[in-house]
Amino acid sequence: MRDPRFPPRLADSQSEGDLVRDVLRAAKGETMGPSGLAKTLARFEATKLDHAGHAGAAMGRGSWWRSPFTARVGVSVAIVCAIGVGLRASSDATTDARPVSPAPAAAASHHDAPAPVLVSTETIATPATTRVEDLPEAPAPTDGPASAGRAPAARATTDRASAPTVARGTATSSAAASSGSSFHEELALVEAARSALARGDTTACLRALDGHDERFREGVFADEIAVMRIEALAARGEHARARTLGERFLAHSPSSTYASRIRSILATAPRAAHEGTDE
Amino acid sequence: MAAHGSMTECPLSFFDRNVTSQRSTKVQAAVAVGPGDAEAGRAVRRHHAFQSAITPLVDVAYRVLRRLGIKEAEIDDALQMVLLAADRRFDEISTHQELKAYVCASCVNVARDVGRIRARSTARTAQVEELEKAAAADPGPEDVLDRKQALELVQRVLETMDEERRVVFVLYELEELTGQQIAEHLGIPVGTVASRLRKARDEFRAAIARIHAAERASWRSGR
Repeated sequence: MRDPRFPPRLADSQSEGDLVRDVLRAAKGETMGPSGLAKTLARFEATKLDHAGHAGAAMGRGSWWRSPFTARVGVSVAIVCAIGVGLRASSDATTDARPVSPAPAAAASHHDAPAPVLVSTETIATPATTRVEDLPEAPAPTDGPASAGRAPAARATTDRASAPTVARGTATSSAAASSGSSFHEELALVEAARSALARGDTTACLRALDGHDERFREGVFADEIAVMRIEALAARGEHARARTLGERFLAHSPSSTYASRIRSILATAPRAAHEGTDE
Repeated sequence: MAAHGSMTECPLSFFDRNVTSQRSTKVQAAVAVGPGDAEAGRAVRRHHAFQSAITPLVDVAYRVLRRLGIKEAEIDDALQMVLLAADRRFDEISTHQELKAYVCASCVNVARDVGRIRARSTARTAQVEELEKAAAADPGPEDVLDRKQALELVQRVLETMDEERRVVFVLYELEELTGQQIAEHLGIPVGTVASRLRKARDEFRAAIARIHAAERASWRSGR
């Protein structure tokens, strides 16, 4: 039952003039666009992770960048921010004249500032080990034209998020050079592989991983891709291949935070060897 | 009074609060190592649930903030404040509609705070000049209002409104919150919401008619 004090909305009312209806409908349909949305969400992630990093460090649990999930999201933010800042630089010379406001950007930029405690991110940033489920979800699948003038302004956040890229060198610079669309495509493939592996569909998982390797061999998520491949192979009984790839991974990255998980997989593989299809 | 918004109540469980825990049991069993996994897994699932729930509301927050006067240069920071507020309260919110109402209410608070800060640092004349500049660029009445022009027109009209009425107008007319929701989140009686809405609608209609008439006259005089 409609409250008579609240009449039908003007945009839906046939008794209103066209102009009133049209302008209100235009206002109701306004969006940031996919690019603006992606940047906003990426910056939000960065802000949360930054806070989580401080919380983790304060509690003596190690540095935030040791978390692969954090690092990958950080890289993601760096890429998105780099794209956004680049776009903004060409169209908006007033970035540095931003009014000072008590915004999260300030909190993210000033590492000594007290940060709100975000329960979820504390644990996200410091898992004892990393699982498939920890990999990032893919954002919106498409990425339209960038909305000029609405770039992420978290310069310090970008700097901080860029830290993990040092260790990744070529991979990161390669990814950073790619377009936002390519980044989303890579993330979408990672998510597809993750989801397939999570539901036990190793065939679909390996197909997605192959697709990733074809297009993003030097991609941002190379480690995650390698680990998922080893897990998928082990799960489908291809233990010999899983072992080969796993040992290669450990030889190349013995101190990776995925190392313990790889060792765990390799440890269980021989026991299940008789069930395998390639042993 | 029951809410009667056009949007249905959508439980947030829809946004996969628990679905991720039901899948991949085989894989989880294979890869879960260490005592921190369960806790980390819960946090990740909660994080994903929030992400899924909040993503469609970012545009809502963007619109409300803009309509309440947040400038382009302020919008990024303002949005982050709203998202952080929503994240903090997410566990206490059970439906999509409730989350939307909370996001809208946060936008009102953030817009008010940012506006106060701006008022201390920005000369009022700058805003007047901005409005005059927008008016000078207005098309003639015979022109079809494109999207950008329509948005500019709405913004100009809203900026002439009293702030309290503008808030109610934006939340009811543009974001389709119910009167009850607006009252709850703004902490005012429903009757007050209805009263502000009535006046705001009258002002909006009158302002549109006035602008339309002025532009028609200007157009005819060979502007």
